[in-house]
Amino acid sequence: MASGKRTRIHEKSTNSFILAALVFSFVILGITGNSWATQIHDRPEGLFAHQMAHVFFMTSMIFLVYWLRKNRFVKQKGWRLIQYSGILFALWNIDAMLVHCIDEMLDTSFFIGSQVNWSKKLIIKDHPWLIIYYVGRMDHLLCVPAILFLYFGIKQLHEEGQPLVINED
Amino acid sequence: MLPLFPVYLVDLIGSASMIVISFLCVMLVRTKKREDPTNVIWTYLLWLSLALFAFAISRSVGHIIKHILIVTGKKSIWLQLRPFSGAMNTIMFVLVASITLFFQRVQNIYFQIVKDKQKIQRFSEKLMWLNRHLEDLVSARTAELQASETKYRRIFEGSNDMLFVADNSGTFFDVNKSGLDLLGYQDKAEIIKKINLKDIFANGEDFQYIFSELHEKGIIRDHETAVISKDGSTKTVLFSCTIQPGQEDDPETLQGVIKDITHRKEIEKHMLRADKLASLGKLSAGLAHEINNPLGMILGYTQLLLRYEKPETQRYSDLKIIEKHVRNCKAIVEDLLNFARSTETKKIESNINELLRDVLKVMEHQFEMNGIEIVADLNEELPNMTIDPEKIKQVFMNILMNAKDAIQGRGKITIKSDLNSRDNTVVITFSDTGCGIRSEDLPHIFDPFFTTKPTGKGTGLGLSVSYGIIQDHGGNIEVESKVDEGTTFIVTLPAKDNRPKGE
Repeated sequence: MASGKRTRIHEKSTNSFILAALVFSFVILGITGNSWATQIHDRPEGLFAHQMAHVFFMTSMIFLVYWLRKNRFVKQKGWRLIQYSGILFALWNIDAMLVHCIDEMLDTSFFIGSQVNWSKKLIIKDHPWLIIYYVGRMDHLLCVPAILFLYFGIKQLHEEGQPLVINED
Repeated sequence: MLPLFPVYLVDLIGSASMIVISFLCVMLVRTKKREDPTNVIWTYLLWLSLALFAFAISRSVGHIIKHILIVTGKKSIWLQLRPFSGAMNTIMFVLVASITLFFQRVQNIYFQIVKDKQKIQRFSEKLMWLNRHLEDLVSARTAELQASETKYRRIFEGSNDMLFVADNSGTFFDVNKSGLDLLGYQDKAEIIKKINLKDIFANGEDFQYIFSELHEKGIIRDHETAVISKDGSTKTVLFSCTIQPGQEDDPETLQGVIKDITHRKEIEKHMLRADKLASLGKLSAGLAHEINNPLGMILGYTQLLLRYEKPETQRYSDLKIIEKHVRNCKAIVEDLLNFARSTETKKIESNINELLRDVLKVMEHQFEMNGIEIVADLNEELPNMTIDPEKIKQVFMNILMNAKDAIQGRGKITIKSDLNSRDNTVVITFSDTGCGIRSEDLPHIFDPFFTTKPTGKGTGLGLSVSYGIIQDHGGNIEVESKVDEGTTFIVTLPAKDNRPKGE
């Protein structure tokens, strides 16, 4: 009993420490004044980190699809749907990275109107890739189906009862 | 120019959808997780759904707030929040990706758990089954063991050879029925844990040899030796034994077979003797035929010459001596022919007791003179037999004459006749209280010309001739003797008709 109590107290203090650390981190991140750090982290570093996170996200999804196919889990309808979800999330990451890259290259001269009243327009000029940018910005057309496939996949597994069937062959 | 409001619209609706659907995912997996809380795959999917929900919240809420702040003219606040939102999104991407990459590990854990679970289930089912059928299984196994024990016990007890189990010092643990018979005991209790192997060996050196061989090689096969039974009689046996190594609590044991070959040895001895006598018979018959005719001529001419001589003359005496010796020679030749069974046998229905009485009548006076008592114990129920009475009488006379010669001074001769209904044979026994026959002479007493009597007193043909006659009647003659105690001749004749077919 005493040991159990000690464990709970220990868990509580660990959780409090993590919470305090997170609050401290957010406060630091929220301060936009001068940085007192020994190294300056400028704007492009944040974008690079974000893009790398996209790559990591995409890679993990590709791995997930690979494992599902390699172990023939896709024979189960549920995992097949989750596989489609993974593919769409991977495509979404590619799309998002592309849009981020193009976004960085565009300045205000490519736009006209105000976003306040949703009258803002994209000036295509002579750059056909701006069409790609325009379509790419509607990235929810990829990520919403991706999460939908995940939902239906889980639902299917839920109905099948057994989440993962071992393929003896 | 392309208007951006469709982009804004898709962004807002998509963001809201992401939050709703990811939340539904979380709720769905949570329900299943509650139903099957130990399933690691549902745990994984819950974590993935939670991460995607967090990702949806972080990103979609950021997008929605952005639109709201810009539309309401508070873009400056958005510019303050933007990096914060971007960083959160980055963290969420990493979180989702990290959890996704755990899939392989989770899958392996799941498979291991499933396999272990299946194994436990199989064992559990087997255990349950065993538990339910334990009594039946024990009964069946006990029955099997009993059947096996009965089978091996039957083999052990039913063996015609002595089977035994002894400890490594030679003390008997178990002996079968044949072993009891061989050693002359009635009950196993008389042997088990009371008698040692060395006690049954007639020759102590033999036991030492066998024991040393056993401990050296672990096995000994068909070693010919002799064992002594309870009544002191010796039997020739083949001894085989192995050392069975001990296991855990069981000590090392000796397991062996003792095969009684006394009877076989006797038969071999008889066959050897029969072969030898048959060869001698052929030789003697040839010789006797050649000598018999000249002897007849000599005797004839001697008797012719005697007719013309006066009895008181020297020539008459000389011729008489010639006649006497020729007659002796003829008697020997006659004996040889008898031995060789060359003379004609005239079998008629006779009674053995009558023949014995005839012989005794002739010899009684002579025995009385020598102080020898004759005891006749004759079974009057004996059936008549088809035999050559003269030749059988000759056999009896030969045996009785030998008995008389063996008794120096006073003594007793016991004659018994009996019917062995089991073999349907008539057994005539002649026992004397004479000097007995030395063991080294016993194998030779039926050999022609073998005699222990002084020269001139015996030709050594009496027993050979007797042997030939009895063999000719399909019978057997055996001798048992102990020096200074006496000798017993056992004549066995078949009670049934023993005439050769066609006679």
